[in-house]
Amino acid sequence: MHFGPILRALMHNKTRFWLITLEVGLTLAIVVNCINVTLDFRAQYTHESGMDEANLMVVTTEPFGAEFKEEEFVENLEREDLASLRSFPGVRDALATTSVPISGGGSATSRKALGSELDSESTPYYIVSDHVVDTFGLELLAGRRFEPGDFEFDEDENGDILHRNVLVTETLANAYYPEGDALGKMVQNDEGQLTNTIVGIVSDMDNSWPTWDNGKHRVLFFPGQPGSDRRMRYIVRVDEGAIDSVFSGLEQRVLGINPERIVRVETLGEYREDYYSAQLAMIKMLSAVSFLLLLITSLGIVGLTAFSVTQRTRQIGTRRALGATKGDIVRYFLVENWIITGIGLILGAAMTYGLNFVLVSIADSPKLEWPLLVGGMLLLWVTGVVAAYVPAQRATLVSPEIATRSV
Amino acid sequence: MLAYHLKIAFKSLRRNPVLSTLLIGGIALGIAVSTAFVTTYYLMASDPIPEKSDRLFAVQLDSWEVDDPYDDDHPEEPPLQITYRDLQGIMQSDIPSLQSGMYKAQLTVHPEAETDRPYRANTRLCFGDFFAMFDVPFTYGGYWGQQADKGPEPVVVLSQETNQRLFGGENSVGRTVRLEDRDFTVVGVMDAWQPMIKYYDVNNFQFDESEEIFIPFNFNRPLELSSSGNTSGWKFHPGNEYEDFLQSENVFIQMWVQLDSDRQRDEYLSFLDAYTEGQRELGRFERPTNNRVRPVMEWLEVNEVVPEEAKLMLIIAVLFLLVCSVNLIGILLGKFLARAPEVGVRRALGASKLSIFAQHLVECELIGLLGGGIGIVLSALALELINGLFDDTFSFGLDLNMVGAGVLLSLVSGLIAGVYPAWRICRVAPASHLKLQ
Amino acid sequence: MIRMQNISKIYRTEHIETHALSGFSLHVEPGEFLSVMGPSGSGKTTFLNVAGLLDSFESGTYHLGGEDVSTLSDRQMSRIRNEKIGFIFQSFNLIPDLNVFDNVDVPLRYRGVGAATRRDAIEEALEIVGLTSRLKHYPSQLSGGQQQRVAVARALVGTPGLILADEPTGNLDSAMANEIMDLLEKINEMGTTVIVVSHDPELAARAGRQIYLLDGRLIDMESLETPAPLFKPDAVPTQPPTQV
Repeated sequence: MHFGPILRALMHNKTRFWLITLEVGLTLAIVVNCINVTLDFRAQYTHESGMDEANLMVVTTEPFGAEFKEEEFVENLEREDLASLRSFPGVRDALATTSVPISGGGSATSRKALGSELDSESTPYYIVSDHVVDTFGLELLAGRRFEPGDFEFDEDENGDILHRNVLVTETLANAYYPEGDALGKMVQNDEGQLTNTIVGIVSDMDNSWPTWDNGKHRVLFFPGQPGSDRRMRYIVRVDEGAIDSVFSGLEQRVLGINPERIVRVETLGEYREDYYSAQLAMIKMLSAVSFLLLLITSLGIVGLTAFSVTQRTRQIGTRRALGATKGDIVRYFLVENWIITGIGLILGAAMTYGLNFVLVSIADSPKLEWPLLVGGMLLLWVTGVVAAYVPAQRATLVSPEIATRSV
Repeated sequence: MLAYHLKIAFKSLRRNPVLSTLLIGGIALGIAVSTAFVTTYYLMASDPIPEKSDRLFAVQLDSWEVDDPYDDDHPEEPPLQITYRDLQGIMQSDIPSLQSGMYKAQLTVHPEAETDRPYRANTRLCFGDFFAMFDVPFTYGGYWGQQADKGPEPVVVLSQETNQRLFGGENSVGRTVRLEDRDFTVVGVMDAWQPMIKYYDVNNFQFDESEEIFIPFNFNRPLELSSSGNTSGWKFHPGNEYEDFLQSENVFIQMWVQLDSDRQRDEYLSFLDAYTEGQRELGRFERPTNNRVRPVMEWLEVNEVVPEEAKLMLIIAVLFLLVCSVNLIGILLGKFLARAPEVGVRRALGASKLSIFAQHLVECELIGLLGGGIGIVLSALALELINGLFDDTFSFGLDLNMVGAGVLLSLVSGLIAGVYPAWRICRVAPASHLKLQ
Repeated sequence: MIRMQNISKIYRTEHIETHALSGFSLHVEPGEFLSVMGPSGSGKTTFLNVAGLLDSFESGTYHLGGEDVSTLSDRQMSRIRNEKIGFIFQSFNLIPDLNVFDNVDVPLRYRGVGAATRRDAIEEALEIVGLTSRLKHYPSQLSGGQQQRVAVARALVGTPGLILADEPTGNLDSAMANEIMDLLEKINEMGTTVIVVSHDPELAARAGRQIYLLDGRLIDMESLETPAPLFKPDAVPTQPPTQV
């Protein structure tokens, strides 16, 4: 089978040729860009949080009883809650916190190395009870865990705590002290009256906003009293695989200690689903669009190949009469299709980069990597061959006798 | 003639049902996908309050730190919210026709029925002008007056859903609702009011639902309510009491005013500038004077409320329709050229080129419209699917404009797809196909 | 009716130029019944296409019914084809999607005639060809002869002054061919100018006047007395033509 004659025959019918080429090219551009964005969203969604996420649950309680106005009451209840949660069968550990990682809700402050002249670093933080390392399932890289002494503070005349010991993630520690010698050093706020000593460095984990690139893996833990009369919240780590059995019992457990509150139990996985709901939805929408597009393009190729077969019924008959086998005929149409899709794909490669450029600048999409483009080209090429095969097969049904028949 | 062209077009479609299904189905898919995503974009980007969006203004004061702007990427931009102290200051003005500071908080609601557990409700603290400013519709009663703002008097406006939940949807005006530790009297029940973009407070999430409960702003102090929206500050303020928080440089209040004329607007800006000048003497507002009043649409633009994902889908959807059209061109070209002999006969019998062109274009438009009709129905379904994908954060649906846009899109794609094939076929030499068929 | 002066028609493809008509002149009077003969490739069909305004020509002048047609727009030419000319083709060229009534209707549709007038005209035309009972039949349900009679009705329906028939009997057996020729004679007797292109000398002889074409030229009568050596044997008329 020689390309030359097929190509020349193709160029004889320029419009049809360019139409399929254009369609294949556009489809490649759209599908590859859709997949590119989809993969990016998928990577965001599936990215490891650094925590023992599969075994983490969140218990949120919103008090309404009058006695919650008393700070001491909240403090005692929190202690009681924690003890009770930690002793629940299947629970490994628990802590109290102000907010939840991967939830989109949380707080951030500013800190920098003590005495530094540089701009301060954004510092997402959680005020937590102890058991931080073991509840989140982190690794203690340097220093120590919180000790009871870390929860005893000196207050100034306004009731402000001016100094605390803190734990930070590795990434944040290196942001303050790029030399990697943060342990035991101090950080300060902009004005300098609030200071903290880094007593431990833990492995990286996601904060409340994992998609916030500049804040990635930055977490600071303040030891303290996270609960308030508005909200008391706990993170519970369960034994491997015990999440379902523990889940159902926790609400009653907490209400049993004090019923004057609204209680919600969720898994951290649910928070993740929620936080990434837009990405998940986009993945589904883009996949659906890509699929439909491939469908339309393959139908288009089926249609146009079928048309090309019908148009050349007589010619096929003549070829058959001149000794072409059925295989030769199928091959003729397939090679024709390869040439068309091939040129379409080359054109499409340029269009793919063009569209990617537009999407990067307008919609902040990720840059396209070439292996994905090659993958997309292969996908479309195979789609084209499959789509062309059916009508090409039909061409073999043309009998050689047709060549001699005058209509 | 149009009737005749339509008749021929219908005959032509009936002649090859498989091909016609392909053609119509293809365009239907294109219209469905494009209309669905154009609709989502349009609903996000369109004016939420067209009758008066140019008279409603978000107020910004640059109370931020002298050498560290609020937004490092846009140092010329003042903070998006204002402090409690500044609210107290600028609410003194009598220039705006209507004005309200506001923020979102969480309140515990104690339903009357003993069996119902208390729950937390999203609550908006605002002034009575809020409802007039944003044209909030009421089913029962109305909003509170300035007296209640000052008191503050324990009055409450309920959303339609909250009234349904607490009072089974009855007229509850005059009844009491227990919020936190005190009773509030219902003065109004809102009609359904759910702007696509929560334009009066785009912090946190621009597609959030509007609040369930509205109470006078000045309850913030007695109830010590902190914001459940964004709070940002730059200056350490000593003390842990609520009062300390109110006196700090934390911004958490959205400020809106209605200014009905340019003159009013200028006057109000001068007032703001004079106010911040006065504050500067007290040691605040160290940054250059940079006060803004921004109309709704500009405000939404500054806050970039249309997500990049929506833009992305819009581009993809338009290209999708383009592919469908190219596909259509290809198939139509084949279909039409196969009909060249018939066209030759018609030409011989007196059809002009124009008439042949028109006939085929009518056929394309018929395909476009049939596909468009199906596509619009499909796009309504697609929007339902999209709503489901986002856990019903959105309530996208087709409105008349979008149905119109869908019809227009289908006509345009029929035209785009049809022009070339119709032009090709009308140029067929009349004599060339008459001799042998 | 037809006045052609020195018409030349050249077909061009990428590589070849074919002179289909060269220096062709012909006058046809209103009411004439003319047959055109000649071997294949002699330009008969080209002549018919040019005469029927289906094709343009390079040089020369052509007056149809006193009107110079060489400068007309496509729209004007279409109008003339529609109102003044009726076509009959060898392969009938009925539109397969349309039934008999609708096929005959086609020229009237392009004229923009009211529905009632159209119905009368169609029925009258079908009456003439004797097919009033088959209004709802589709072409595929008719015999070749019937199809050609529908085509004749379609040519007649607009009451054109000129009917151009290209091998109208070429696809028919002799009985049917005679029927069609009878019809054409009948139409001619009603005052319509009829021009028939035919291979068949017997049928051609039924025309009032016969002309011969060779290599795009009209062969003059005198030279035909002694056939030119150029003639291919199968194309040589069996009988010397006579002019009426």
